[in-house]
Amino acid sequence: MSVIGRGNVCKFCEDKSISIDYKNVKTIKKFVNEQGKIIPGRVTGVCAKCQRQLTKAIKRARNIALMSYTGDSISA
Amino acid sequence: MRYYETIYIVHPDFEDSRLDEIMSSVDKQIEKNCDEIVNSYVWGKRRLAYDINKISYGTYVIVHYSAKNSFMKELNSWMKIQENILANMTIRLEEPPTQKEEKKVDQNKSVNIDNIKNNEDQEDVKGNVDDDMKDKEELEVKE
Repeated sequence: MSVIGRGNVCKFCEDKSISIDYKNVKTIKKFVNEQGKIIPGRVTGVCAKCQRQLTKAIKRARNIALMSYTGDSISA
Repeated sequence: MRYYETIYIVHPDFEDSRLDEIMSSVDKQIEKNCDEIVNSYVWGKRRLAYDINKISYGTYVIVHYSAKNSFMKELNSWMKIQENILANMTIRLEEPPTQKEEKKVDQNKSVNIDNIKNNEDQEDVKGNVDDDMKDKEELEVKE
């Protein structure tokens, strides 16, 4: 998980071209752990504003079966 | 009037003309109460993260439109009744959606379905292929 790691700048603020969208599963997948739980912003280094958007996106993706509620290892 | 995005999952057995039938029926239902439909396109056939009604694949369709808030309840209850629609979700868009070019959508649609047919034997690879496809889409859009 190379993306995760506390840096000085939030990953999404640094690169504005990355959209925090529930359809962008490949990106938001990196911010949940193996159990499918959302990783806190203090661990990943995502700022509060982006973390709020990220949380919303993950929950939407779960709702429409793009992401698992329980993590891939359990559901598969 | 606000802009909304509705995404719904159609049963994977429906393809081509039968899929178009379902899409047009949904579009008609939306047209009754909406201002304008900006986009209505097939996003692709993908593996669901969890089974819905014991079905593990689904065709995702996305519709962008502007409508009144009061219409959302009506549309949601109508969607729930439809047998061929496995799941649906409507979200409010903060910014008006941009119109998608139709030609590109058609190409991607056919490629996506072909890919899935080829990869049915290698299910493990499939998730990656879908993601790769999406990346290519994004690149095309950027260009």
